[in-house]
Amino acid sequence: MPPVAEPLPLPVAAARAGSAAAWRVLFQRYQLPLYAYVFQLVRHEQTSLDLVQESFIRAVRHLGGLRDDGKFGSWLFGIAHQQCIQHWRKSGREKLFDDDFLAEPIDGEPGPIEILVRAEQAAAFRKKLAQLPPTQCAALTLFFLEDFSLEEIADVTGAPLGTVKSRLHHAKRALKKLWEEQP
Amino acid sequence: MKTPKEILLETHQVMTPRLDKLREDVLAAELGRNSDAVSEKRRTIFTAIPLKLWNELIWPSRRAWAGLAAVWVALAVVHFSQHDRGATFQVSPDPQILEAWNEQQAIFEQLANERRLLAEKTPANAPPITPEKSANWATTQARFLA
Repeated sequence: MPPVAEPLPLPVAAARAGSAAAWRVLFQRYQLPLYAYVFQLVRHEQTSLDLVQESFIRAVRHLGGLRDDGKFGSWLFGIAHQQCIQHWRKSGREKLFDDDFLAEPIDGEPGPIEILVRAEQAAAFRKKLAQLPPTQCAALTLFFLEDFSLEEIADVTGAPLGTVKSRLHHAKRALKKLWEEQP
Repeated sequence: MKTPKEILLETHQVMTPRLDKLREDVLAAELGRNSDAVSEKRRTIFTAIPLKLWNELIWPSRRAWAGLAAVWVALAVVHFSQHDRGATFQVSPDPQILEAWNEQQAIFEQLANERRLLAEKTPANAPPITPEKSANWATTQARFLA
């Protein structure tokens, strides 16, 4: 079995010291997943770009507040999530992001979701994902994009761990159901 | 077959050039702004302290400071003028004072010669002069020992 290459550590310390090259590496790594996540929440191209830009600006200005360099990814997504919440608040749609169901206690970890999509089904998959309530869509997108743990998703969304567990559970169940119902 | 992550990223892959430009714009603006802020802060440290001193310490009592400065200037003028006069005295002394000084030197030499001559005439085995004991000394000593 060939050895698996360890991913290179992100140059967070160098970025904190003001290295433009380090920031470039960090932003290149996260720009597309971050945009994808923001787009899932706001569903508007230019707004998503603006929110990603604002998230980058805030990241550069506030990196000093990040205590654990290993959590840079969830920290950056957390900034973007807050930007989305503020955008929704400005446009008076904040209630859409309130919990859309009573969080039912879930025992254990939410089960794995293994979806493999054929190329011609990609559009259908995106449509099904978009049909989920925003909180569930956010949790599931974070899970899909960055394989974040429950704790990291809780950090990003600012929700309690139990709530995140419940959202993810319901999101997976709903997506599976939607997927199985497709013609 | 693709994973959900691949589908989500592939959907937005067309945005990469715009995201690249956005990233570079942010870095140019923010990191440039940071270096500007550092130099501005440094400049502020060097200029703000003297300016604050001037505004809070000097300017409100400017008349008092001006008076004090005038006094110091007058003192300096007096000091330097006296210093110049002393230097002139050292360079060319008064002839009368010089003559008196020479007379004093001659008197001292004369006194020293007389003392030397007196010492030579005194015999070497002469008994040293000792102070006499008090007449009551023996009585006092006897009383103490008793």
